[in-house]
Amino acid sequence: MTSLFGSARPPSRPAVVAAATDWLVCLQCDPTPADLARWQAWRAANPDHELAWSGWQR
Amino acid sequence: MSDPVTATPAHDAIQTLYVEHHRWLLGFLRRRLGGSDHAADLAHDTFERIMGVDPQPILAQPRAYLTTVAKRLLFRHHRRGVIEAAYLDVLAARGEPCEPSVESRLIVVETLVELCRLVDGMDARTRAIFLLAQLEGLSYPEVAQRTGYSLDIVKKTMSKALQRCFSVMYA
Repeated sequence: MTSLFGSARPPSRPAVVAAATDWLVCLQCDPTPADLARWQAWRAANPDHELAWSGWQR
Repeated sequence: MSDPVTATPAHDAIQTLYVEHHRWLLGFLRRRLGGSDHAADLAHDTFERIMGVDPQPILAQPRAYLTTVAKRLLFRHHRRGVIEAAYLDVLAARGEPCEPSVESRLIVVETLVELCRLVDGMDARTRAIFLLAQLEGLSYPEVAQRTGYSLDIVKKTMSKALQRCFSVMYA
């Protein structure tokens, strides 16, 4: 059986998942423009970051 | 008869347990399930679970042991039924024509069961924070105010809980 989101898996590296989750929590709590800029920079810094982030968007 | 290549004392003990008590266990499960077809599956799962126990216990009262293991599986079976019914109720309440495939339904229900298990396994503080945020829809500052924990603790707790949800969703 596949996962809830099919065979497409975000990276499983715990550190990247933890960082993506920290950003999710940050964005759910009135982020400042500086937070948003840092979040976008984090996503752009590494393809794995974007992949992990996309795991929260499905 | 034992396979001379793979037989071990533990293997022989389980085989004896199966031969002597499988029919009785099946009857026990049929009575509990009202004659459901799931009885045979649960009996199989019970022995499979017992085979995974290492080291194998020495059984003074094998039927009591079988009953204990089978009751746990029955509880999970009933709980899964409740979760599946709730999921179908939500789909029906949407009022949209939506008929998930058997596989999709199985995956969603399995995921919900795992998430329920995850919530059950949380400590009291994490569970309280997680449920207030995810089920009641409170903002993190509101959760902090309601629980008396600092906003920083609420955010760190949510981050850890959500990481575990993430691993369940993509398991």
